[in-house]
Amino acid sequence: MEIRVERGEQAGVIRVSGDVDLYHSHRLKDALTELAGEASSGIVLDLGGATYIDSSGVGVLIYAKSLCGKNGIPLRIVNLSDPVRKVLELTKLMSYLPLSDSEAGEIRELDDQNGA
Amino acid sequence: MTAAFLSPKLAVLLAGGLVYLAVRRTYPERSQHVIAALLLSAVLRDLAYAVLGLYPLLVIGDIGLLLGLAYWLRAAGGRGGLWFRPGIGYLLLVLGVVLLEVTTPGVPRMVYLVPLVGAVAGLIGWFYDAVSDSVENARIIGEARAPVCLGVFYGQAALAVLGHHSAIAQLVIYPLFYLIPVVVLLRYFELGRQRSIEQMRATRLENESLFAFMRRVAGSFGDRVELESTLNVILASAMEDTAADGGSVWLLDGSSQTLSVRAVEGVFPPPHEVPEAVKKKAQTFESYLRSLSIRVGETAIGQAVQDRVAIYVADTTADPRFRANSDRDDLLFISSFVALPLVIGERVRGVLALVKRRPGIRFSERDFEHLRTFADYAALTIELVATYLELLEKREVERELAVAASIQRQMVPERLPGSARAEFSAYALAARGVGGDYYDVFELDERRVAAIVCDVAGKGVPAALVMVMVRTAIRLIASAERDSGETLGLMNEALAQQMEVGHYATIGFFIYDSDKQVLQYSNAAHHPVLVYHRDRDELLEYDTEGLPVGIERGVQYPTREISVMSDDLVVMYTDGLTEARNNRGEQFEARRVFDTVARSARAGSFGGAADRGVAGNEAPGPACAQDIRDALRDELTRFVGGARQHDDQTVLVMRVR
Repeated sequence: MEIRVERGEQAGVIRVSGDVDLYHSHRLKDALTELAGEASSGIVLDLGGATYIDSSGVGVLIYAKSLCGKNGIPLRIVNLSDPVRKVLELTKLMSYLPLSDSEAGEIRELDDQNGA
Repeated sequence: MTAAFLSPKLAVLLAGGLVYLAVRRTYPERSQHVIAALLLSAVLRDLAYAVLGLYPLLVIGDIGLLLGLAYWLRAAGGRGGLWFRPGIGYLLLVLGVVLLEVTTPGVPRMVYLVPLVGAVAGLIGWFYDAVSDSVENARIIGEARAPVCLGVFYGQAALAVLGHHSAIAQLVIYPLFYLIPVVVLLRYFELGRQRSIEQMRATRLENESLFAFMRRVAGSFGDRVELESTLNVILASAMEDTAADGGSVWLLDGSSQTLSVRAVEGVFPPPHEVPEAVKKKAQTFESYLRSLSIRVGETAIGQAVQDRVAIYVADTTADPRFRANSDRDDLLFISSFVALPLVIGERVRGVLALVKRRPGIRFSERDFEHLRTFADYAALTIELVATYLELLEKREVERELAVAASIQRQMVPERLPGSARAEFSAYALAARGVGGDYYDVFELDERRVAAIVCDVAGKGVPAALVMVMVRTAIRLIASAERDSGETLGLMNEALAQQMEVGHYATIGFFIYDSDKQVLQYSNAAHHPVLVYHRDRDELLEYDTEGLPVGIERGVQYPTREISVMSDDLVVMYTDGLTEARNNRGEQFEARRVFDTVARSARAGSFGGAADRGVAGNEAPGPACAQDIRDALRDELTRFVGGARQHDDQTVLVMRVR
């Protein structure tokens, strides 16, 4: 799994590619924690490159929602790849997690929220 | 009086012969005989002149000498191929001599200046042409200019004044000409010797700095091996070795083809424009830099990765790639730049980029050569550390998995309760390490039995602990007084409080009431339950809404009541089945579970339809729980072949009696 963090002027973007599984998902968790700790004005989690997600990975998504909720940071999970979507549908988390299809729109929206 | 004994011609020959012998003794090596050869040709030239008395022979000999020198220069790395300017010089030289020979002795001596000017012009032109393209031998060519040009000029001037037949000319001036190639070549060999000493010293320094680098990398590990600290050591070493003012290490993200900064030292201006606001504060600049990413192919940094070629820009002023870095007073100023791709075999890991930021201060070629060797070591080191960290990560996880596996083994029920009203069968196949599957069957009272299949998120000890929680909670909470939905709701309340954020479990849970022949089913985001209604010969999937337990408090779980009859079959399973993969990478999928259950439920107790055809007279009985379980297990085993499985596979089957 590879994680790339882009700290924009407004929202921070975390792009994940590869397998978000037991062996790697803790790194995503660390990256999220770090970014949320920097009082970022919003986090966009891009799962477009994720080829596989297991329950540990889903756990990190739940953690992300909880963490951002606690810190009052808007979170958007974008670009669900098919394998990820399938797992989230199965675990009935599609409506629980803040998912969205368009990334650009989300960042703009986060920025607008902050600007307002 | 000495004229007969020491004729000028003889003196010239004597002097030439002595110098020839001296040179041969001094430079015994074959490659150095070029000096002797040049001298010998000069001596032979003079000998021919002495015998034949023709002045043009001297000139032709000189031209030959110059051509010899030109050849040598070319061999030394100069160009030597341009003959235009030297050619004019030679022409003037020949012209002057011809004029001298055809005119009478009454001609003014100053006419000698014609060949003189020609010779000097030719030499200077030729030397400048030769030096312009070669950096390697610029020094020797530059140093050779003075003795060659000045020697020829003053020598010829003296000849012009004294006349070339005078005794002084023959005794002193002509022998001095011999010294010109000797001086040049001696200097050339001296420089060569110096260069090889410097190279040896540089190699030793190179080795020393590489060893020092290795020691530093090893020393930087301490208690923990970290990629970041390795990158920092790499960067610091590279900067120290080349006295760079700033540097950065970028690692490549293969899937997005972008490079991002992983280590920065000193002031490292990126080779592109940056927003003005960023430049105002050093802190802002650094955090900007650290979050920077560059696409492969963009800027000199991306180019080094794309072409897998080290980039060396000694002086950035003329390079359009550094237009943003040209202002001397700007934070972005770069005077000299080096980017080295970090390549392992076929793969580029990233790039090491260094800058100098002082006007006129540059990376030398030797710096660049050193960095190229260094980058090889650096890439290997990065690869090694990254691989080691991956392995370590796996080993740590696996050690934990072993602990968790033993917990899990102790939790699986040793014996499933069977009764006159329901029959159970289950199988649980633990993946290497441990998944997080758990199943249980227990009686609530004399007519109700509860069954749970649970898949805990994650693996290892945390998952095993959740499993323990689920097992404890379900046994405490499930009772004859609560329906299945209430039970899951209470489970969730209990677990959501205790479980760490991000931990959760999917649970399929049912309570079978044998008096009413009703199945109460509730689902916390697990696979839907499969029920085979034997009377209708129908396999149906039942599901209810609800999040996995442990995520959020206050979740409602509906209860679904399903009427069942004797010999109906109820099947719950975990996603280890549906996600089981064969060697072609295909998944078993829910539809294969469904088909297998349907087929074996219909086939009844004697196996497949073919068997029935053979057996002929004996009709099969209804399929029992074990038939379904075995059919699923066999089908799955056949499907996956030898492929290694990564998740637990659990199946729980109940047959209504």
